[in-house]
Amino acid sequence: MKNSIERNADLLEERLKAEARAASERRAPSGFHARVMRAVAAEAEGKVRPGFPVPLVFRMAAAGAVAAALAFFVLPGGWKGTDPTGPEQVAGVGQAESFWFDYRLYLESPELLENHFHGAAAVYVMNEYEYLSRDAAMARDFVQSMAPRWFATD
Amino acid sequence: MTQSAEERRSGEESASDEELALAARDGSRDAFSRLVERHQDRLFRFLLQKTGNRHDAEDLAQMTFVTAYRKLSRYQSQDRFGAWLFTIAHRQAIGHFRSFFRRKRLHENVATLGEDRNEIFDPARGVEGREESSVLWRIARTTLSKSQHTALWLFYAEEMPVVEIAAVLRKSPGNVKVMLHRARGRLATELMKEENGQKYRKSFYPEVTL
Repeated sequence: MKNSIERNADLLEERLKAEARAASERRAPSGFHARVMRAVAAEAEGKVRPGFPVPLVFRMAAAGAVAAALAFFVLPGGWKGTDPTGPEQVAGVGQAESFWFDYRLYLESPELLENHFHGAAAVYVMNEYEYLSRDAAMARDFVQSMAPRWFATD
Repeated sequence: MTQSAEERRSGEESASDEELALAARDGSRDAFSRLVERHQDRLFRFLLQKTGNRHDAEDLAQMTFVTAYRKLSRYQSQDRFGAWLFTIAHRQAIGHFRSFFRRKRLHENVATLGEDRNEIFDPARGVEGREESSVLWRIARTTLSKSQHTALWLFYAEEMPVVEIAAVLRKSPGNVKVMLHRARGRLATELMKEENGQKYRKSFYPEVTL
Protein backbone atom coordinates (compact mmCIF):
# COMPACT_ATOMS: atom_id res chain seq x y z
CA MET A 1 0.00 0.00 0.00
CA LYS A 2 1.49 3.32 -1.08
CA ASN A 3 1.46 6.31 1.19
CA SER A 4 0.30 9.75 0.08
CA ILE A 5 3.82 10.96 -0.77
CA GLU A 6 4.40 7.97 -3.05
CA ARG A 7 0.98 8.41 -4.66
CA ASN A 8 1.69 12.09 -5.30
CA ALA A 9 5.07 11.21 -6.78
CA ASP A 10 3.43 8.67 -9.09
CA LEU A 11 0.85 11.23 -10.20
CA LEU A 12 3.56 13.75 -10.93
CA GLU A 13 5.50 11.24 -12.99
CA GLU A 14 2.41 10.35 -15.00
CA ARG A 15 1.70 14.00 -15.65
CA LEU A 16 5.30 14.68 -16.70
CA LYS A 17 5.13 11.82 -19.19
CA ALA A 18 1.71 12.82 -20.52
CA GLU A 19 2.60 16.47 -21.03
CA ALA A 20 5.94 15.52 -22.62
CA ARG A 21 4.03 13.26 -25.04
CA ALA A 22 1.71 16.15 -25.89
CA ALA A 23 4.74 18.36 -26.56
CA SER A 24 6.21 15.71 -28.86
CA GLU A 25 3.70 16.68 -31.55
CA ARG A 26 5.69 19.83 -32.13
CA ARG A 27 7.97 19.69 -35.17
CA ALA A 28 10.89 21.71 -36.38
CA PRO A 29 9.64 24.39 -38.81
CA SER A 30 9.44 23.62 -42.49
CA GLY A 31 12.63 24.48 -44.31
CA PHE A 32 14.69 23.91 -41.19
CA HIS A 33 16.51 20.92 -42.64
CA ALA A 34 17.52 22.86 -45.74
CA ARG A 35 18.67 25.76 -43.61
CA VAL A 36 20.86 23.49 -41.47
CA MET A 37 22.36 21.77 -44.50
CA ARG A 38 23.18 25.12 -46.08
CA ALA A 39 24.99 26.11 -42.88
CA VAL A 40 26.78 22.74 -42.84
CA ALA A 41 27.81 23.17 -46.47
CA ALA A 42 29.16 26.63 -45.70
CA GLU A 43 31.03 25.20 -42.71
CA ALA A 44 32.46 22.36 -44.80
CA GLU A 45 33.66 24.78 -47.45
CA GLY A 46 35.16 27.02 -44.79
CA LYS A 47 33.18 30.01 -46.00
CA VAL A 48 31.77 31.16 -42.71
CA ARG A 49 31.94 30.21 -39.08
CA PRO A 50 28.72 29.07 -37.45
CA GLY A 51 26.79 31.53 -35.34
CA PHE A 52 26.89 35.22 -35.87
CA PRO A 53 29.28 36.63 -38.46
CA VAL A 54 32.18 38.49 -36.89
CA PRO A 55 32.94 41.75 -38.68
CA LEU A 56 36.54 42.40 -39.63
CA VAL A 57 36.85 45.29 -37.21
CA PHE A 58 36.09 43.01 -34.24
CA ARG A 59 38.53 40.40 -35.48
CA MET A 60 41.20 43.08 -35.73
CA ALA A 61 40.30 44.32 -32.24
CA ALA A 62 40.59 40.76 -30.88
CA ALA A 63 43.97 40.32 -32.56
CA GLY A 64 45.08 43.65 -31.07
CA ALA A 65 43.96 42.57 -27.60
CA VAL A 66 45.94 39.34 -27.87
CA ALA A 67 49.02 41.25 -29.03
CA ALA A 68 48.66 43.72 -26.16
CA ALA A 69 48.27 40.90 -23.63
CA LEU A 70 51.39 39.22 -24.98
CA ALA A 71 53.32 42.47 -24.80
CA PHE A 72 52.11 43.16 -21.26
CA PHE A 73 52.44 39.75 -19.64
CA VAL A 74 54.89 37.65 -21.60
CA LEU A 75 57.53 39.92 -23.03
CA PRO A 76 58.53 41.85 -19.86
CA GLY A 77 59.50 38.76 -17.89
CA GLY A 78 57.24 35.84 -18.48
CA TRP A 79 54.04 34.63 -16.91
CA LYS A 80 53.85 35.24 -13.17
CA GLY A 81 52.06 32.05 -12.31
CA THR A 82 49.03 31.81 -10.08
CA ASP A 83 50.44 33.06 -6.81
CA PRO A 84 47.29 34.18 -4.97
CA THR A 85 49.25 36.89 -3.19
CA GLY A 86 50.54 38.46 -6.43
CA PRO A 87 49.26 41.98 -7.15
CA GLU A 88 47.51 40.97 -10.38
CA GLN A 89 45.74 38.10 -8.67
CA VAL A 90 44.62 40.21 -5.71
CA ALA A 91 43.28 42.85 -8.08
CA GLY A 92 41.55 40.13 -10.07
CA VAL A 93 39.94 38.64 -6.97
CA GLY A 94 38.66 42.07 -5.95
CA GLN A 95 37.11 42.59 -9.36
CA ALA A 96 35.55 39.14 -9.34
CA GLU A 97 34.05 39.61 -5.90
CA SER A 98 32.73 43.00 -6.87
CA PHE A 99 31.28 41.45 -9.98
CA TRP A 100 29.61 38.73 -7.94
CA PHE A 101 27.93 41.15 -5.58
CA ASP A 102 26.77 43.31 -8.47
CA TYR A 103 25.39 40.22 -10.00
CA ARG A 104 23.51 39.24 -6.88
CA LEU A 105 22.08 42.72 -6.66
CA TYR A 106 21.07 42.52 -10.27
CA LEU A 107 19.18 39.34 -9.59
CA GLU A 108 17.58 41.12 -6.64
CA SER A 109 18.14 38.39 -4.11
CA PRO A 110 20.42 35.44 -3.45
CA GLU A 111 17.34 33.28 -3.17
CA LEU A 112 16.33 34.14 -6.69
CA LEU A 113 19.83 33.43 -7.87
CA GLU A 114 19.91 30.03 -6.23
CA ASN A 115 16.39 28.99 -7.05
CA HIS A 116 15.83 30.35 -10.50
CA PHE A 117 19.02 31.02 -12.35
CA HIS A 118 21.55 29.35 -10.15
CA GLY A 119 22.95 26.77 -12.59
CA ALA A 120 23.83 29.08 -15.44
CA ALA A 121 24.62 31.99 -13.13
CA ALA A 122 27.08 30.06 -11.02
CA VAL A 123 28.86 28.74 -14.10
CA TYR A 124 28.95 32.24 -15.47
CA VAL A 125 30.27 33.77 -12.25
CA MET A 126 32.82 31.00 -11.82
CA ASN A 127 34.13 31.55 -15.35
CA GLU A 128 34.31 35.30 -14.81
CA TYR A 129 36.10 34.77 -11.52
CA GLU A 130 38.52 32.32 -13.06
CA TYR A 131 39.21 34.69 -15.90
CA LEU A 132 39.88 37.59 -13.55
CA SER A 133 41.83 35.70 -10.89
CA ARG A 134 43.47 33.24 -13.28
CA ASP A 135 42.96 30.54 -10.70
CA ALA A 136 40.38 27.83 -11.36
CA ALA A 137 40.57 26.30 -7.86
CA MET A 138 40.10 29.67 -6.19
CA ALA A 139 37.18 30.44 -8.48
CA ARG A 140 35.47 27.20 -7.60
CA ASP A 141 36.06 27.69 -3.87
CA PHE A 142 34.70 31.20 -4.03
CA VAL A 143 31.51 30.28 -5.87
CA GLN A 144 31.07 27.22 -3.69
CA SER A 145 31.24 29.40 -0.59
CA MET A 146 28.75 31.88 -2.04
CA ALA A 147 26.35 29.43 -3.64
CA PRO A 148 26.77 26.13 -1.80
CA ARG A 149 23.36 24.92 -2.85
CA TRP A 150 24.30 24.91 -6.50
CA PHE A 151 27.16 22.56 -5.80
CA ALA A 152 25.05 20.42 -3.54
CA THR A 153 22.28 19.90 -6.07
CA ASP A 154 24.25 19.81 -9.30
CA MET B 1 30.59 -1.54 -59.66
CA THR B 2 29.48 1.65 -57.95
CA GLN B 3 26.32 1.90 -55.86
CA SER B 4 23.38 3.69 -57.41
CA ALA B 5 21.95 6.74 -55.65
CA GLU B 6 18.80 4.76 -54.74
CA GLU B 7 20.78 1.90 -53.21
CA ARG B 8 22.81 4.36 -51.25
CA ARG B 9 19.67 6.15 -50.07
CA SER B 10 18.05 2.88 -49.07
CA GLY B 11 21.19 1.88 -47.15
CA GLU B 12 21.19 5.18 -45.32
CA GLU B 13 17.56 4.84 -44.35
CA SER B 14 18.15 1.46 -42.73
CA ALA B 15 21.49 2.41 -41.16
CA SER B 16 21.74 3.16 -37.47
CA ASP B 17 22.56 6.63 -36.22
CA GLU B 18 26.02 5.48 -35.25
CA GLU B 19 26.69 4.04 -38.75
CA LEU B 20 25.49 7.27 -40.33
CA ALA B 21 27.67 9.30 -38.00
CA LEU B 22 30.71 7.26 -38.96
CA ALA B 23 29.85 7.69 -42.64
CA ALA B 24 29.46 11.42 -42.08
CA ARG B 25 32.77 11.46 -40.29
CA ASP B 26 34.29 9.89 -43.40
CA GLY B 27 32.91 12.74 -45.48
CA SER B 28 29.37 11.72 -46.47
CA ARG B 29 27.21 14.84 -46.44
CA ASP B 30 24.16 12.70 -47.31
CA ALA B 31 24.65 10.64 -44.17
CA PHE B 32 24.75 13.78 -42.07
CA SER B 33 21.66 15.05 -43.84
CA ARG B 34 19.84 11.86 -42.76
CA LEU B 35 20.97 12.42 -39.19
CA VAL B 36 19.59 15.96 -39.28
CA GLU B 37 16.28 14.63 -40.60
CA ARG B 38 16.08 12.05 -37.84
CA HIS B 39 16.99 14.32 -34.95
CA GLN B 40 15.80 17.80 -35.89
CA ASP B 41 12.36 17.50 -34.27
CA ARG B 42 13.66 16.06 -30.98
CA LEU B 43 16.41 18.62 -30.78
CA PHE B 44 14.06 21.47 -31.62
CA ARG B 45 11.60 20.39 -28.91
CA PHE B 46 14.40 20.05 -26.36
CA LEU B 47 15.75 23.52 -27.09
CA LEU B 48 12.26 24.98 -27.23
CA GLN B 49 11.73 23.64 -23.74
CA LYS B 50 15.00 25.13 -22.56
CA THR B 51 14.56 28.57 -24.07
CA GLY B 52 10.77 28.93 -24.23
CA ASN B 53 11.29 30.77 -27.48
CA ARG B 54 10.88 29.35 -30.99
CA HIS B 55 13.41 31.64 -32.67
CA ASP B 56 16.13 30.93 -30.12
CA ALA B 57 15.38 27.21 -30.33
CA GLU B 58 15.78 27.25 -34.12
CA ASP B 59 19.08 29.13 -33.94
CA LEU B 60 20.45 26.91 -31.20
CA ALA B 61 19.39 23.74 -33.04
CA GLN B 62 21.16 24.94 -36.17
CA MET B 63 24.28 25.80 -34.17
CA THR B 64 24.15 22.38 -32.53
CA PHE B 65 24.09 20.56 -35.85
CA VAL B 66 26.87 22.70 -37.31
CA THR B 67 28.99 22.15 -34.19
CA ALA B 68 28.30 18.42 -34.36
CA TYR B 69 29.39 18.39 -38.00
CA ARG B 70 32.58 20.24 -37.14
CA LYS B 71 33.35 17.87 -34.25
CA LEU B 72 32.53 14.62 -36.04
CA SER B 73 36.21 13.70 -36.03
CA ARG B 74 35.94 13.39 -32.22
CA TYR B 75 32.84 11.19 -32.33
CA GLN B 76 33.49 7.68 -30.99
CA SER B 77 31.48 4.85 -32.48
CA GLN B 78 30.69 3.35 -29.05
CA ASP B 79 28.81 6.51 -28.04
CA ARG B 80 25.13 6.78 -28.87
CA PHE B 81 24.83 9.54 -31.44
CA GLY B 82 21.64 10.94 -29.88
CA ALA B 83 23.29 11.37 -26.48
CA TRP B 84 26.34 12.94 -28.09
CA LEU B 85 24.14 15.40 -29.98
CA PHE B 86 22.19 16.33 -26.85
CA THR B 87 25.47 16.94 -25.03
CA ILE B 88 26.34 19.55 -27.63
CA ALA B 89 22.83 21.03 -27.48
CA HIS B 90 22.93 21.28 -23.69
CA ARG B 91 26.23 23.17 -23.88
CA GLN B 92 24.90 25.43 -26.61
CA ALA B 93 21.94 26.27 -24.39
CA ILE B 94 24.21 27.04 -21.41
CA GLY B 95 26.28 29.30 -23.66
CA HIS B 96 23.11 30.95 -24.86
CA PHE B 97 22.02 31.77 -21.31
CA ARG B 98 25.48 33.06 -20.45
CA SER B 99 25.42 35.46 -23.38
CA PHE B 100 21.81 36.31 -22.52
CA PHE B 101 22.90 37.42 -19.05
CA ARG B 102 25.79 39.41 -20.53
CA ARG B 103 23.48 41.19 -22.94
CA LYS B 104 20.96 41.90 -20.21
CA ARG B 105 23.61 43.33 -17.90
CA LEU B 106 25.02 45.50 -20.66
CA HIS B 107 21.56 46.56 -21.62
CA GLU B 108 20.68 47.65 -18.10
CA ASN B 109 23.62 50.02 -18.18
CA VAL B 110 22.06 51.81 -21.11
CA ALA B 111 19.55 54.04 -19.37
CA THR B 112 18.11 55.59 -22.47
CA LEU B 113 16.06 52.65 -23.66
CA GLY B 114 12.31 52.50 -23.40
CA GLU B 115 9.82 50.51 -21.38
CA ASP B 116 9.81 47.54 -23.71
CA ARG B 117 13.39 46.56 -22.92
CA ASN B 118 12.39 43.53 -20.90
CA GLU B 119 10.54 42.15 -23.85
CA ILE B 120 13.66 42.39 -25.95
CA PHE B 121 15.92 40.64 -23.48
CA ASP B 122 13.70 38.46 -21.38
CA PRO B 123 12.31 35.42 -23.19
CA ALA B 124 9.99 34.79 -20.25
CA ARG B 125 8.27 38.11 -20.91
CA GLY B 126 8.63 38.45 -24.66
CA VAL B 127 5.53 37.76 -26.65
CA GLU B 128 6.77 37.17 -30.16
CA GLY B 129 8.04 33.68 -30.73
CA ARG B 130 6.98 32.50 -27.30
CA GLU B 131 5.65 28.97 -27.24
CA GLU B 132 4.46 27.21 -24.16
CA SER B 133 2.06 24.33 -24.29
CA SER B 134 2.46 22.70 -20.89
CA VAL B 135 2.06 24.39 -17.52
CA LEU B 136 4.06 21.69 -15.80
CA TRP B 137 7.03 21.96 -18.15
CA ARG B 138 6.91 25.74 -17.98
CA ILE B 139 7.19 25.52 -14.20
CA ALA B 140 10.05 23.05 -14.63
CA ARG B 141 11.86 25.42 -16.96
CA THR B 142 11.46 28.46 -14.79
CA THR B 143 12.10 26.96 -11.35
CA LEU B 144 14.61 24.15 -11.79
CA SER B 145 18.30 24.54 -12.51
CA LYS B 146 19.32 24.13 -16.13
CA SER B 147 20.85 20.74 -15.43
CA GLN B 148 17.83 19.51 -13.47
CA HIS B 149 15.51 20.63 -16.23
CA THR B 150 17.64 18.95 -18.89
CA ALA B 151 17.78 15.73 -16.88
CA LEU B 152 14.02 15.75 -16.37
CA TRP B 153 13.27 16.36 -20.06
CA LEU B 154 15.69 13.72 -21.29
CA PHE B 155 14.29 11.21 -18.82
CA TYR B 156 10.56 11.76 -19.40
CA ALA B 157 10.28 13.17 -22.90
CA GLU B 158 13.22 11.44 -24.57
CA GLU B 159 13.04 8.37 -22.35
CA MET B 160 16.81 8.40 -22.24
CA PRO B 161 18.50 5.98 -19.81
CA VAL B 162 20.12 7.50 -16.74
CA VAL B 163 23.57 6.42 -17.97
CA GLU B 164 23.16 8.45 -21.15
CA ILE B 165 21.77 11.46 -19.29
CA ALA B 166 24.86 11.25 -17.09
CA ALA B 167 27.01 11.35 -20.24
CA VAL B 168 25.11 14.39 -21.54
CA LEU B 169 25.49 16.28 -18.27
CA ARG B 170 28.99 14.96 -17.50
CA LYS B 171 27.80 13.62 -14.16
CA SER B 172 27.80 10.20 -12.55
CA PRO B 173 24.62 8.10 -12.95
CA GLY B 174 24.12 8.28 -9.17
CA ASN B 175 24.31 12.04 -9.31
CA VAL B 176 21.69 12.11 -12.07
CA LYS B 177 19.34 9.94 -10.00
CA VAL B 178 19.67 12.33 -7.08
CA MET B 179 19.15 15.27 -9.45
CA LEU B 180 15.96 13.70 -10.85
CA HIS B 181 14.66 12.98 -7.37
CA ARG B 182 15.24 16.55 -6.23
CA ALA B 183 13.83 17.97 -9.44
CA ARG B 184 10.58 16.05 -8.93
CA GLY B 185 10.42 17.18 -5.34
CA ARG B 186 10.97 20.79 -6.27
CA LEU B 187 8.50 20.55 -9.11
CA ALA B 188 5.83 19.05 -6.86
CA THR B 189 6.28 21.93 -4.45
CA GLU B 190 6.13 24.55 -7.17
CA LEU B 191 3.15 22.90 -8.79
CA MET B 192 1.30 22.94 -5.52
CA LYS B 193 2.05 26.65 -5.12
CA GLU B 194 0.88 27.34 -8.68
CA GLU B 195 -2.29 25.33 -8.43
CA ASN B 196 -3.29 26.39 -4.94
CA GLY B 197 -1.98 29.89 -5.22
CA GLN B 198 -0.41 29.49 -1.82
CA LYS B 199 3.04 30.83 -2.23
CA TYR B 200 4.48 29.81 1.09
CA ARG B 201 2.70 26.57 1.76
CA LYS B 202 5.01 23.86 2.99
CA SER B 203 5.91 21.14 0.51
CA PHE B 204 4.17 17.81 0.82
CA TYR B 205 7.17 16.34 -0.92
CA PRO B 206 10.17 17.82 0.84
CA GLU B 207 13.54 18.23 -0.80
CA VAL B 208 16.20 15.83 0.36
CA THR B 209 19.60 17.20 1.23
CA LEU B 210 22.74 15.16 1.40
